[in-house]
Amino acid sequence: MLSIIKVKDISPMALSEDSGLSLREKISNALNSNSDKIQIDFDNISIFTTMFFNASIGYFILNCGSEIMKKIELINLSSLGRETFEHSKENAEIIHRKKNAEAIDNITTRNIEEL
Amino acid sequence: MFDCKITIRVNSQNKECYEFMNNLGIYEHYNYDRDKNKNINLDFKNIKFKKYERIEDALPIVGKILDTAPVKFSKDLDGIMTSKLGEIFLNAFNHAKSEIGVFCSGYIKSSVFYFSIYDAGVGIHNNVKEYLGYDISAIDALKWAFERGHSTLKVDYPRGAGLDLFDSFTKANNGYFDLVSGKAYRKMHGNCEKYNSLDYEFLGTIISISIKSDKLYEYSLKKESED
Repeated sequence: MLSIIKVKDISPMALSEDSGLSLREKISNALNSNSDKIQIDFDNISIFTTMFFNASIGYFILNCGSEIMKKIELINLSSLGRETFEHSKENAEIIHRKKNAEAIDNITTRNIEEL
Repeated sequence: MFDCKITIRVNSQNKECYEFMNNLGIYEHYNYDRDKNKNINLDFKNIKFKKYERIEDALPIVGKILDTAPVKFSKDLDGIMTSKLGEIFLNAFNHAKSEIGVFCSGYIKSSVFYFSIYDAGVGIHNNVKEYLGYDISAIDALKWAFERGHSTLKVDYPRGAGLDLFDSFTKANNGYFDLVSGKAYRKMHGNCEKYNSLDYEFLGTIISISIKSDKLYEYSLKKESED
């Protein structure tokens, strides 16, 4: 099943944390309804910030890794929007890797302490 | 209503601080005589800095500044600049914890785009110290804040990419990006980055950028051709 989310139905700009959180909720609902593919349509959106992408798609990358992007497709995204998204995505991947490394460190330390 | 006045005391021997304030247009506005090392009284009613409570109200200022340019910019550049400056606006609104809001001003002069944002908040040094839970120098706190993936806001999603993205944009356009917060000062011109400490503490954080409009024009053409 394909789910389509139009960003302009949320906000005229991909700008604020609040708009990003609204998009996150819609993505979450689509994932919970077992959608195979989620299309996010940026038609008529010309202003973008990393915070918008951090609060929305970044949340899923942080928690599920970049694999989640196999399910999420961004359409009608301008080069500026693409550049902003890529920057947010790379940042989320760095934090995701760091989070995983810290979790492994904690397990290793606990195991050593238990020996 | 209080008539808010600020006194700025600048030691003209502190060349970098002097240059920074000069680039904001404040000295020119008051016809400051650099040789006399005097105090300057700035009245908010007279200076072009304007207070903003919400980012949605602050953003249209970018379009207004671009409208004053001697050359006609494309609509796309408006979107690019609004988006890029939106990054530092959001940073100021979210991190400052400022009770008196965020102030900004901007203009185009001799084909250079100038923009400044000021918040009288707790400053980067205090925010980073509180977040890390240990003492750190003012300069190290600033360096920490500019590292990708670093942010003092505790939220459930990744943070800390805005300043970095704005940095890349300024570098790509060979622009200037100066920041003063507390006792630290970061100066960036093109790819050259420099940190310094200040003798006197600056209340809050001020960011000042300047980019030549012909560079912006080239940048917007590149983006349009990519689309």
